[in-house]
Amino acid sequence: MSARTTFLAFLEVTGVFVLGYYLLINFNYLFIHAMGLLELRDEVREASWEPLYEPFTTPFLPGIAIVVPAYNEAGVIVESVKSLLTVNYPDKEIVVVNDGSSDGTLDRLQQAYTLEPVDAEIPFDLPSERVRNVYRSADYDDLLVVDKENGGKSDALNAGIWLTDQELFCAIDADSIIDRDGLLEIVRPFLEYPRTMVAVGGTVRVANECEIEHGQIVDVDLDRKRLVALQAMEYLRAFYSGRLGLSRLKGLILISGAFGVFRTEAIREIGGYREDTITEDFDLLVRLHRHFINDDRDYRVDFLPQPVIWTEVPETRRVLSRQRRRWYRGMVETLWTNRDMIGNPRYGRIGVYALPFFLFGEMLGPLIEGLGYLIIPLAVFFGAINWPFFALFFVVTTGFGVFLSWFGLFSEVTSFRRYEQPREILRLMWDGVLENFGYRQWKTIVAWRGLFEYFRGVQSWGMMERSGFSDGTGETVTTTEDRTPAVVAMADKIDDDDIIESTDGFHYPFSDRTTPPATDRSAADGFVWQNTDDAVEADPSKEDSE
Amino acid sequence: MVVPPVSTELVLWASVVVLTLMVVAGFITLAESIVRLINDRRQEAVQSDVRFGMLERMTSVDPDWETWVDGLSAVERTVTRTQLESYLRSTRGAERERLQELGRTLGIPAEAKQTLRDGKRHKQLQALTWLTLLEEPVDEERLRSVCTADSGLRAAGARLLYETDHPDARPIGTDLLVGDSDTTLSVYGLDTLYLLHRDDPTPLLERAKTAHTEWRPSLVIQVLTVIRHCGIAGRDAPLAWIVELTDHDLPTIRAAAALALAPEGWRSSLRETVDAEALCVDPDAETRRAVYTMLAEWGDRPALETLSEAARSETDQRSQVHALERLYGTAVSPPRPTDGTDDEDYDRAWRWVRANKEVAPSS
Repeated sequence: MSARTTFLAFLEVTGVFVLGYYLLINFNYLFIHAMGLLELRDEVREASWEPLYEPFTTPFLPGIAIVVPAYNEAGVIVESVKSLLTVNYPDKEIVVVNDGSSDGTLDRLQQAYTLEPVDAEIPFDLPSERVRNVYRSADYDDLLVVDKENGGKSDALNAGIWLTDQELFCAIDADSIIDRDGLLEIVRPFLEYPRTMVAVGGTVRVANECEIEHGQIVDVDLDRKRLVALQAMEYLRAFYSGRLGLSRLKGLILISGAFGVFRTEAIREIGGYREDTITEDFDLLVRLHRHFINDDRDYRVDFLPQPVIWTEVPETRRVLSRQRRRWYRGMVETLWTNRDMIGNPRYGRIGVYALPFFLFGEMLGPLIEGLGYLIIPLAVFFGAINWPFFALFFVVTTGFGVFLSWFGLFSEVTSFRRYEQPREILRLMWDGVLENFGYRQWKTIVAWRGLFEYFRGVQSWGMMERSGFSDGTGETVTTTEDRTPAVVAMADKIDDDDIIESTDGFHYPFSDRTTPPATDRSAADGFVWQNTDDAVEADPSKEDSE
Repeated sequence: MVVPPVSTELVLWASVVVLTLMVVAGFITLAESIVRLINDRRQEAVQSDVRFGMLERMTSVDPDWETWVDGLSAVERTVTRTQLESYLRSTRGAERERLQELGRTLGIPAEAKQTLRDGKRHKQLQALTWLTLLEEPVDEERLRSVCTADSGLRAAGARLLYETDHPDARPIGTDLLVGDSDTTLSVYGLDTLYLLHRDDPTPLLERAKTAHTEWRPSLVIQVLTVIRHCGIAGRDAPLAWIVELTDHDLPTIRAAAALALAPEGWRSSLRETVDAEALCVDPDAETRRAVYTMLAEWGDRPALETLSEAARSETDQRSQVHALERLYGTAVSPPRPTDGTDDEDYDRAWRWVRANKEVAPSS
């Protein structure tokens, strides 16, 4: 057999493999979307009647600690806390963890909320960097401020989780906005399954261009920037189809770090968030599954579509690329760390379905698709396969991709309808098409880059790049003191050139870290790596600019 | 070629299939969006008029709802129902009664009773909610036959009995809520069970005494939680079964049992029955914390002394703090630490509790 024949055979076999692979993967996606739709139908029906109990008079709502890690958030922290204090929930504690800020975040809190130090050594062993002091507010019983050495987001979360006495905790970002009744909704499963419910996730939506008043989203608007709109489309598909579908299949292995409520004791049992992982939220839930299954204990993990948290997403391709590469690396890392669970029947649906789905669909899927974009045209060029084969590959990937996007949009329209206007739906549909012509292919390159970075050991976090939300006057607000009405924006726009490398060559949204990678808060999902985290990583020493 | 070439026909067929899926999904999505927006707009257009009309009549002595309702268009009726439901949830007294009259004028009770007979589950839930808001009694047998499918329906049925002041609301409602041993309560059910027994949990204790062995652990915990929040039970109320549960295999049940006993510490017989010292060495830290809460709520000197001893010997730091927090400011204040003591954990916990209480007494 000549070299040419071998080469052609290789091209042909690879092409066939890629096509077959994608047929199988798409079948799986369709299945999960269908499950998601069924689940959503049930949720919508359930939401069509409202029980008559009054949350503020019933004695049964468990206490929730809202843990807010904060690094250099002097510009927004006072307003953020004010916003959280107004969230409708009778028994809540706001735990702000100042993670070694250098911009006066703590001073601002002290001035605004009359903080008084708890003048004693903490009697627990905390799995975090040293806590300098704990403060309680003289004005608000439900505000606790922890001041600690810088250690990263996971580290800050752990400090908060260990220092609260509340039965449940909710980890959110200082710059995200919970729907006013979000906590009341998300806590429901914990009451219905008091013995077994350990974690419930809520929906994350794109807040860019949304209008905010008094710390709440009052007008949902679709950002005119194409990249933001594409992400809005992705988030819809991922949450209303992906997570709901996996939840129905009892295979939810990711709750976004931006909006999840957990049983505090269960998280303490597994040692809290890991600081040496890039995607601490993905890692946390997989470890939670492992822990309870290994101990042979009944437990439940749920996802609810109705409670929503709003967050800002990257607005430039460079930033988005960094974010997605980081998520990709985190997914590879988590799957590798938990490789013994993949395909292992001992771990039930998590082992035999959810993890393999992530491995083959989310991790390998984009890589193989990217390979297809390279190999199949080559194979056609050399005559190893015919043009119809190439067209079929295009239909199976791109055409079917559009259909799945529109499927997700259908779920939005027939459920909670945060995008009410048909023109917005039409725009999202158009974005669903565009997403598959260029953006999708670009993401396969991002996935390959993420994989290479993983093998190179890149562990970067990043600094925030936010433009802020609209303040109700139609003007976008960037973050500085006294300018933002309610939230957001962490820093003024930062370019690569502005990014300051920390001592370990590692950055994350809240800090220049001084400890090894505690890294990211990402959120893998059934479909798109999404996280609420629009934090961007930046490690100029290791990453090329886009 | 290793594999036969793909035919153009196959590609065409695949394209047709995918395109059809796309067109169907896209058309339905857009059409649905337009239809819903048109409905929204129509309703928004009449919202103010309906609200003003309703509020005006709600406050008048003779609202004459019939004349008003006769003049409403179909869209206005829909909006009226939505607003009526909202107002019924927040009004009381004479205004509420007038709004309930409006509901009857709109024919909601008859419609709801019909739906209860032959509607789907979520429609039945909506119907039960309407009937509860309008305080329209429903035949007991009807409720028993309808409200069996799941915990949501049972809770809604029990709530209807409670809100309509049915003479047997408590036994029938309790039966609906916890009659199925293989279930757990919804949040609504939990709250309704609480309302049914808030003033005197004795009937619930009587029922749970015999039934709890058949229940799922989650339901046992839920009922114990309700008992904890209810008022004090009658002198002869059976509590021995709860005491027995403090020795259950599941720590979550042991903890819930200890908390359920907390408000009943006024009974010397109970305090004598419970082996508090043994409970204080439970292997599960959460259970021990529940026991510490129970002892603190009992508040008598022996209980507090037992708690004080337990605080001293507690090995779990968090539980130690929990015990000391509950002792703080009671008649049996925990012994102060002395410098150089051999129990540094205890000293640290004591100082921490004191410092917290000084800064925020309610913490």
